[in-house]
Amino acid sequence: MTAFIVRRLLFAIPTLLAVITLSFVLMHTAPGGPFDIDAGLEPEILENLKSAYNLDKPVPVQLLMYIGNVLQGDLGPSIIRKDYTVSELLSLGLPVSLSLGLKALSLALLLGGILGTYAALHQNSVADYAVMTLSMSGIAIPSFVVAPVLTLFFGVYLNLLPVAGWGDLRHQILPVIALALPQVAIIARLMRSSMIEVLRSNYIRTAHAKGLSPQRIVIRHALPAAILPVISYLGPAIAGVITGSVVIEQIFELPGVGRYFIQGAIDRDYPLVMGIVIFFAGAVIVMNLLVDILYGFLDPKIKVE
Amino acid sequence: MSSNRTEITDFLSSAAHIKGRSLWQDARARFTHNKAAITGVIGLVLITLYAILTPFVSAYTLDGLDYSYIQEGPSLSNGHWFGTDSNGRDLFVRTAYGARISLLIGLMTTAIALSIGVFYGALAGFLGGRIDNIMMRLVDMLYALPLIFFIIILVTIVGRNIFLVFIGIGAVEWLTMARIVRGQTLSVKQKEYVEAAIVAGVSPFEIIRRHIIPNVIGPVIVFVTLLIPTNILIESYLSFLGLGVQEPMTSWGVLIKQGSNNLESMPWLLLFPATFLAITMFCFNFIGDGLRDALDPKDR
Repeated sequence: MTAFIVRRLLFAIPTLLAVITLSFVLMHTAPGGPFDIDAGLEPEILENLKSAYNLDKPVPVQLLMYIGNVLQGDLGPSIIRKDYTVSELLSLGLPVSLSLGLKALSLALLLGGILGTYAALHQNSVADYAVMTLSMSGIAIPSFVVAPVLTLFFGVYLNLLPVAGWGDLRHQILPVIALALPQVAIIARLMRSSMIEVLRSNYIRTAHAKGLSPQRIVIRHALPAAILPVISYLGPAIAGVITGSVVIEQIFELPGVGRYFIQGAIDRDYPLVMGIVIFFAGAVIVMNLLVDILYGFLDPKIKVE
Repeated sequence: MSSNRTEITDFLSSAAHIKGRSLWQDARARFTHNKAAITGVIGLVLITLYAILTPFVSAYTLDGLDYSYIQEGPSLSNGHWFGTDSNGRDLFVRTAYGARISLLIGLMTTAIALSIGVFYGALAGFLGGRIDNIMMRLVDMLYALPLIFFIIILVTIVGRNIFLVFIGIGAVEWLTMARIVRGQTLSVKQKEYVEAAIVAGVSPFEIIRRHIIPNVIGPVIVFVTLLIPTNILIESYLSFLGLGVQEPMTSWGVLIKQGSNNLESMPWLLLFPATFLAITMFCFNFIGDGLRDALDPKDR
């Protein structure tokens, strides 16, 4: 197990290096730069500005210098938001994005799991069709359509919840729901089909024959096996929530990392964009590793070596 | 001896009249009996016809302003069936133009992902060994990342034009395709009939054409029908963020963005483009599921 974790962490190093190189070269070889908006700068000042951020050096040199800094834990200053370093901006945005993402993911797991299990236990009933329809709609209707509609109903017509901004828990309800819905849909579908399959298996029939109560059979015997496909979907689910949070933060005007990323990309704030990409790549790698370890614990058939 | 031979020739000549059913005929029969999949096909044909024909037939144009009907709701009597926006532009025509761009982007990006993925996967699977190992490690690496960030970097920093959106999405969405094709190629390569073909001196090109491609094509078709809606969604997502298709051109994402900005005063601006997007997603998913059931009956 330890060897597996060490090997995966070692594999993460070339992955992160590849990510850094790819996005760095992509950004720095493109025409234009962060000082395009300050039109009419004296050429000398522009040169000074560029050399202050090492932008006057060849791209490979800049890349090596950047990797050296990152290894020392220095993500550099933000070029556009001059009072902040990238680490400071990340530490401002992360609490918002993480709290949204984790809540959405938990909600998706819980609600998707319950709906999927319920639909599987009542196969071909009205409830089953309702869950399947909901699940199809969740996949077909993107969150950037759901979010404005939710805002209109709960924020404007019913006046129950704030429509945008960041503050107490009430500000989080609509964004979390909008972010979770597509994942609820996918998880419910996965859970339903795997639960149906497990319920047909021999050991469940044996459990019935032993005279165990239906609740006990579902919770103790069927659930641990049926949840495995959902666990292995967690990796893509995390990527989906991160992707969704970029647009959700934009819609609800939340001060999360996703908004910094979009703004940074538009302003060509190279260090900021790089910092966020590195952070998310690292987060996804670690989460995927955790999911794999969890899977190894839950599935007795798999031996992680 | 001779009577035996005539018996056999008789039997064989009568057998020639029994028409066997190929795998593809079976698959087609299964697909046409799938109501949801056929509904999906009909839905898509209708949406495509709407997208192609409307601009030729309609009295309005993409950016033509109708000052007598500004911010009008949907109405059959004044000719603006889906209503107009705050500039008096007709939404029925704009949704059709949006459909053109969105569908085109879905198809083009998928075509790019398909070519890269099939080439990469087939190469890795065919070469095998250490090269395969390195190539697939690279795919694993890229797989671990939230790729939307790369697309956003590509379209914002390298430049915002529609071809970059094509290339950006296509260049990122080929990974799963490569995995499918590679796995399939590896397993087919070990089959006895391929060994037999190699022994018989069939050229590698012919082996790929006769044996590998027909075996790989089923899962690839299924994946393609599911990748098209994914890519349409990615384009809408980018356009919604203001990073994809730019005015005066339009796409469903651009229209949904406008609609969500004016949701309280003009709900129809969101309703129609979003409905078309959702129906398209439904159709492609129905077709994809139908194709999966039809082409791979053991995976039901």
